[in-house]
Amino acid sequence: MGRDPNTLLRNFHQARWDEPIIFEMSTPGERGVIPPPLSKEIQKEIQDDGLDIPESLKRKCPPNLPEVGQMRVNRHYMRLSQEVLGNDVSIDIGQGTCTMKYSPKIQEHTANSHPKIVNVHPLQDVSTMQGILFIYHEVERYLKSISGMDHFTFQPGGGAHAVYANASIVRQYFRDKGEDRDEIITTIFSHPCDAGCPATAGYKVIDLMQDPELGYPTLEAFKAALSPKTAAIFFTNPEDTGIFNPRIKEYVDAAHSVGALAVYDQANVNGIMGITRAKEAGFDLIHYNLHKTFSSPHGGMGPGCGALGAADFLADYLPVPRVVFDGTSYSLDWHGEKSIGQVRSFFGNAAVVLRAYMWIRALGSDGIREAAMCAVLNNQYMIKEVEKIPGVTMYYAKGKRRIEQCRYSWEKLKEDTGLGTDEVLRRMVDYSLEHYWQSHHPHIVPEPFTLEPTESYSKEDIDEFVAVLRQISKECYETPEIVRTAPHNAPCHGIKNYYELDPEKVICTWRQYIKRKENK
Amino acid sequence: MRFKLGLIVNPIAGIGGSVGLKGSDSEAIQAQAIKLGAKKRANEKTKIALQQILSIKDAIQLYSAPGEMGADLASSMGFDLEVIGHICSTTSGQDTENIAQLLKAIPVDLILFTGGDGTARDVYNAIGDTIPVIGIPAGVKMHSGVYATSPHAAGDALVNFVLNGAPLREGEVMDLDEVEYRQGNLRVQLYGYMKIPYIRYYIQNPKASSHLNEHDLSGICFDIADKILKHADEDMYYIFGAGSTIKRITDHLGWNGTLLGVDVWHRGNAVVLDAKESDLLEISRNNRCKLIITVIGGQGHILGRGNQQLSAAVIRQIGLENLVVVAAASKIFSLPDQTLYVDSGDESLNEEIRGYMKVIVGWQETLVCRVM
Repeated sequence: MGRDPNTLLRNFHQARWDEPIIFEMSTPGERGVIPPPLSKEIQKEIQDDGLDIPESLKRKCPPNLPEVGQMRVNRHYMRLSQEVLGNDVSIDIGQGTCTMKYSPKIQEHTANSHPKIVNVHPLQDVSTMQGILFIYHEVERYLKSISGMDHFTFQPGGGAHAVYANASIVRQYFRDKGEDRDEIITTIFSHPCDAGCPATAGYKVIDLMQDPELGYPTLEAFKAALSPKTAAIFFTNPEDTGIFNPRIKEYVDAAHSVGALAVYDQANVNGIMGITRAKEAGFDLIHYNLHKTFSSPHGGMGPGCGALGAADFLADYLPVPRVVFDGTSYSLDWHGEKSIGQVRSFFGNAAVVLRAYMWIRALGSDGIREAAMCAVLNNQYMIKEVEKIPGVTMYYAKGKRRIEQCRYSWEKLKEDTGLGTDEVLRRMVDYSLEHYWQSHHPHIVPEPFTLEPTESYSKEDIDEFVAVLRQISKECYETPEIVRTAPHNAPCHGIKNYYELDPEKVICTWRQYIKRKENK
Repeated sequence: MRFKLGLIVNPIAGIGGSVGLKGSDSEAIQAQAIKLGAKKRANEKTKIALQQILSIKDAIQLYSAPGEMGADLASSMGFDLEVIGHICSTTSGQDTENIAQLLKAIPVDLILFTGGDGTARDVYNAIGDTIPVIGIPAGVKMHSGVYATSPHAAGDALVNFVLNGAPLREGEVMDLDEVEYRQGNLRVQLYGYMKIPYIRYYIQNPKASSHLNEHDLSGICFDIADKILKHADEDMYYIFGAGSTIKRITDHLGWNGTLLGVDVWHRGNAVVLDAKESDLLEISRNNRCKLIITVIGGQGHILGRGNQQLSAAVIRQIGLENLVVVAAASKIFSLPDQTLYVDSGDESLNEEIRGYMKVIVGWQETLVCRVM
C-alpha cells in the first residue's frame, strides 16, 4: 500500500463533486437558524425609542442571500474543501516566496479557542487586557533582537500594507525636513509592492535591472539611479530569485550619502534570520511577514501581519497606537504628532502576533537560527536535484548559491517539446501536488517556477516533489499529450491561464454574474 | 468556416549566413553560397513549424506558394492545399511579393512565411499591415520584430491563434543594406510595420499581456506629455525619433508626426517632418533640443538602427543630457539579457553612452538598463 517506493509517485485522485454555486441551491423560506421571537421587554423598548437608524441607511429590500439549511450548507462547503489542496494535505514546496512552513496546530487552537484570547475585545479598558499587550510587547522585543531595529509596530495587515506604511513614513519624514524628493529606487526582482506601494504613495519609481552574472543590479547601475531626488530605496534581499546581494551595505551607504532613506523588504527573511540583521546593513525601515516566516498561516491572503521595524530617529512617525510599558503595566499610546496615523482598526491582527509569539517562544533564539539553516540546506539539496531534471535551467549567477528559494526556468523544455511552465503546473495536481508559484510580475525569467522547501520539509518530501517534476518532464518528452490535456485526476480541468483572461470576461461575484446575464 | 492560411517559404533564406556571407539578398551571393557548400535549410525549418499545426490541419484551408516555396513540403505532410500563382525556377524576392499579393487578394486570415529580413520586407511590400503574419525565423539578418522565437514556436503560435484568436500588435519590418554591410557599414532601415498576433511565448516575453503592454504605452504617453506640456518651455525644440511607440506619443499630443521618419516640433508646430541629418544638424546647432527615441527592433538598439539621421554629430549637438529614451517594459524584458545597444557610428560617442541609462517605461516609472 502507499505510494510506489521506487518512483515515489502516488496513485492519486481528487474528489469531484460537481457542486452548484450556493446561490443556485437557494430554496425560498429555507433557514439555517431560526432566531427566537423578541421578548416583550425588547419589543417595547424598540417601539418606545426606535432603533435610531436613519431612513437613508435602511434597506429597501432584503439582501440577496442564499436560503439554505445548516446541513446542506455544511455539506456544500465540506465538498468544496475536498476539491482543493493545501498546506495540510500536500507537499507545499511549490509556493516559492510564500515560505509555506508547518505552523504548529497548538498555535491555531490557542488563537481560535483559548477563552483568554477569543473573549478579549480591543475596546476593553487596557487594564483588563494586559495579557495580549504583554504578548505584543514581547514579540516586539524578540523582533528587535532578530533585526537590530529599535521599534516595531504590528498594525499593518500584510506585507504590502507594511511597505505602504513605510512609504508613508518616508513621505512624512521628508515633508517635515522640507526636502522635495519624489523618486524611489527598487530592483526588478524585489517584490512588486516595493515599486507599487511607493507609487501609490505618490513616488516616481526607478527600477534596476539585474546584472546577468551577479543576478542583482550592479552598484554602478544603482549609483546611476541615485540623485538628490531619491527619497528612499526599497529593496528585497535575498531577491525573488533566491540570490542574495552580499554587498548590500554599500548600496545602503550610497543611498544615505545622497540623503535618502533605506527600506528593507524582509518578507522573505526565512533563510537569514538569526544570521544577518537589517541594522548592521544600515537599514532605516524594514518589515517582516509574521504570516510566513513567523509561522502564522497565510489564511488565503489574510489575516496577516506586516511587522514594521524602524530605527530610533523614525520612531515618532510610526503608526498609533503603540504598545508601551512603564515598568509595571502596559498601555496604548495614541500620541504622536508626527505619526502617519492609524493604518488599521484597533491594533492590528492580534491572533497573528500571538502565533508568532508562540512560535518564537517554542524555538528560542538558537532554534530560529537553526530553522534558517535548515531552510537553506533544504534548498541547496533541492537545487542539486531539480537541476538534473531534463528541461530545467537556472538563470543568472551561474555556480553561485541561492539562499532559501530558487527561481528555475522550463525554457529548454518549452523549446524542446512546446510544453512549458503552464502545462507542467497543470499536471502537478495529478500527482497530488498543488500548483507551484511561477513568478512575480514581470516574468523576466522565461517559463518560470519558484520553489522554496523551507525548514519544515523532510528529505523524503523533497524527493517526492522532485520525483513528480522529473516524471512530468519525462512525459513532456515522451508522452506530451498526457501533459497537454492535464489535469486528469483533479476536480477542475482545462483552467485558463490567468494572464490570458480578458478582465471583461472574468466574473467574481454572483451579483456580477446575474447582471451580465441580464445584459446579454 | 475553415481558417485561411497563406504559406510562403523563401527556400534560400539564410543560405548566406552559414558560410559567413552576411545575408542572401542577391543571386550572385546565393550562387556563391551554394558553391561554398551552403545548404538550403528554410524548408527544414518550415517543416518543424508545420508539424505543430498538423493536429489542427482539418481546421485549416492552406493556400501555398508553389514548389519549393511551400507546396512541395506542405502536400508531402498531408495538408489540404491550394497552390497559388507561379514562381521562377530560381526563386527571388519578386516571387515572394507576387505570391503575397495573391494571398492578399483572396484574402487569407494570416500569412505564415519563412525567411529573414529580406523576406519580411518582400511580404510587407505586398500586404503592408492589412493581413497578420507570423514569421518562421530562417534568415541571416533578423532585425525585424515579426518572427516567432523559433520555428517550433511559430507553429505553436499559429495553432493558438487559430483556436483562440489573439489581439494584434505591430512588429517592425527592418532590413539592412547588404552591399553596404559587406563593406563594413551597418545601415538598417525601418521600412514599416506588419501586424502580428500577440501570443505568449511567440513574442518571447510570455507574461506581458496585451493589457499590460497597452497600459505601459499609454503611461509613457501621459508621462512625456506631462513633461512637455507642464513645463511649456517655449524655446525647446522636440525631436521625435522613428517608430510606433514614438508615434503613439505624438498622436497623444495631437501632433501629426510621421511613423518612420524623425520629426522636429517647436511650440506645438511641425518644423520639419521626416528630417534629414542636415536638417537636424542645423536645428540643433543653435537651439536647445530634447530628443525622444525608442528601442527599435528585436535586438535592442536605441541608435544606429532605423534612425541613421540621428548621426553622432547630431547627438553631440543635442547633448546626451537631452536624450530621452522610452519603451514599453515588455519590449525591454523580451530583449536578450535585457540589454540595449548603441551604434551611433562614432565609437567615442558610443563609449559615452554605454553603461547605464534610464528608460521611461510607464507613467512616472523608469527602468535603469545596461547599454552596450
